[in-house]
Amino acid sequence: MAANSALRGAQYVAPWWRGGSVFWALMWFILRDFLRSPWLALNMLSLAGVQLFLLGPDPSRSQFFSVVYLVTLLLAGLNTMGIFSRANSAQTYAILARPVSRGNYTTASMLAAWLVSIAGYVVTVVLAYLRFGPQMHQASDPGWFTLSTFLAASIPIVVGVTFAVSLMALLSAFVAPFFVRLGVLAVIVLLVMAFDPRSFPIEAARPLVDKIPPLLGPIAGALRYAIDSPPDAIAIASVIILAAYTTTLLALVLWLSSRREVELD
Amino acid sequence: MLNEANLYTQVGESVGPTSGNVAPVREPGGASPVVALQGVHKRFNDIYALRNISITISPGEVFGLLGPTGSGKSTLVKLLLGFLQPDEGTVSLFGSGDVAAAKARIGYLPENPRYHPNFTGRDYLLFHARLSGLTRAAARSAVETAIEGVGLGPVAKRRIKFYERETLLRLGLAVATISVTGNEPGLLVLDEPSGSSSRAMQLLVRDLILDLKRKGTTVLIASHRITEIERTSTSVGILRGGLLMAQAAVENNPRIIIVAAPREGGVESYPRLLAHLQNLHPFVTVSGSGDGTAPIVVSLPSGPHIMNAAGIKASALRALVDASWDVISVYVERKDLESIYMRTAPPRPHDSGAIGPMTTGPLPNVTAPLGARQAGSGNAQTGPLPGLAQELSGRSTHPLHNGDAGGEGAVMRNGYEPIEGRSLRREGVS
Repeated sequence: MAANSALRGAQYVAPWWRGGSVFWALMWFILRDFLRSPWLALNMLSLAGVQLFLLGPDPSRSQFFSVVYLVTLLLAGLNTMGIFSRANSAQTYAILARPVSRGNYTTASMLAAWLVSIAGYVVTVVLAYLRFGPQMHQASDPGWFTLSTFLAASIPIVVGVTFAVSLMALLSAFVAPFFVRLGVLAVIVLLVMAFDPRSFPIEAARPLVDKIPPLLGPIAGALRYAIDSPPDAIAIASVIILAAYTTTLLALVLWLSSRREVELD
Repeated sequence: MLNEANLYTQVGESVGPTSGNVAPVREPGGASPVVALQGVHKRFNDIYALRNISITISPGEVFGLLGPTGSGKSTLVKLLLGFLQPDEGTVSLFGSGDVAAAKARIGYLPENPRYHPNFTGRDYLLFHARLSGLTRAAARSAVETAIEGVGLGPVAKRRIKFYERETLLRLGLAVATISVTGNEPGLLVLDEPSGSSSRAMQLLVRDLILDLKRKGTTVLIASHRITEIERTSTSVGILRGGLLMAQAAVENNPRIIIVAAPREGGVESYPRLLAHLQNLHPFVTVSGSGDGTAPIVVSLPSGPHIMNAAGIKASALRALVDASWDVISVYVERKDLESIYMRTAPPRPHDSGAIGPMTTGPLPNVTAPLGARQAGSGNAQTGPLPGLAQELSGRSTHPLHNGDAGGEGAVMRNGYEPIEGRSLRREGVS
């Protein structure tokens, strides 16, 4: 009596698509749950704040993408935090008792956070176009507000959002055990302080910290890919390195998540 | 299913932690068991939550996992659902070691169920039906059936955050059952299903379980309530401190107990008397005196399934009188779950039923006779006739003994959660 052999027939999804069907239902559920929570209001307030306070009339390309890049990455981090904090509660037990592994749940949660963040970016761009487009996009001077510019600028933003989602997933209690999260936070603090070791609290270690290369540099460097036209080698390298960081974090998140036992709050 | 003789062997002679090397208790018809745990150990840091657990649950069986709070019931349930991995041993569901694949056929009701509050009950059930692999149309149909089955209809359109405690339990039951009644019966796992709910909810849970049982669904109920398990289960495993103290069938067939003591000439006739009594019926047992110098307890089978039970009783009484033995007492005893529980996992003073510390030595003696084992101490006593002594002293309503060592009062005083208001079932007969 194989476990799944009995689940055939018209009432069941075809076996070849069952995994996909379950994953899609799960991701859609997580997304709907998030959008019915107060986190949606936070996203909407942030997007409204960007339009009202951060984007002045006739924004320059660097101003626009700097603001959008920063806000989108921050929101991606917050959204991921929100989704994973909801995952790490007793209500998830009932879902994980279904044919849903912890790794599947993590992947679906990350995808939901990613989709919400990317949707926020798209909404920001559309609103900006509706507000400023007619003035900036004149027949004689198309300016920077063109489709090709946005497609190119979207590359670092998509990579940056994926990075933020992966990092925050790794820092969530649902994915990583306490000491892993503590270690990751310590590494981040060290790398941030490496930009200016004079503030490092252990004086004797400052020369060592000074020798740490600016590993977080590509996070800011990737923005140049959106701002510069055409992007220089540093911008391209930054995006590639950020993508490599993201891939590493993703792999770490999925590896940790699939190996952990399920003990939720 | 064990027959009466086996039941007594289980309950009366193999009380104590069961060994992982023991063969599965039952496998009727050679069908693959729905649940098979073999030699499972689980520890958290240096604390053992489960030790050497071996359980087999056959298709269609309702298995009650009984034990006080902290005895390891929830840990065992989490092992079954793949939430936790065993440190040693194997867990197999539906004949397969792939627990993840088996989960499509498992329904689970957690202790104190909590669900996503921003969804309506119907939406949430639909989501679970889809997770179980049902098509959209089949899921809708299954949802309506589940809603009807637990009486959730009037509030199914309301958001879960407005549900009262009992409504939440109804939803939990609907969530749990939605995946176990497909074209192949599944496994329903209920962790403390009644909780502190009302009598009406307890009845709902019971009826639901009995209905699923009729449909061939296998059910595992983890509970600290004896009555909850006794009313529905066909077999029971008793956990204490992470050890499986006993695994037995739940049968409530009464037995007639005769307590007798020798008078002059009784000792000499004892061998003949013993032979006569044991020839009355295969299920007759005699315990107590080894040489006829002390009182004996004769246990006779009874109930509608025993042919000529009254004749057996009359013959036994006549044999005792003829052999110069005084009949001190005759009464009916029901080997109910409570008595099994009190024998195998009686409450200990100053013990909250918490998980015991890790032991590195061999497991405690598992073959100590009934009553020889100090309550939960893990050490066997070897003194003379401890079984009979405990047999008598543990009966609050025994005609010769008015102590309450095994009664409900003792349970309460020892800091245990009360075992619902009921006394040991005993009925005096003339």
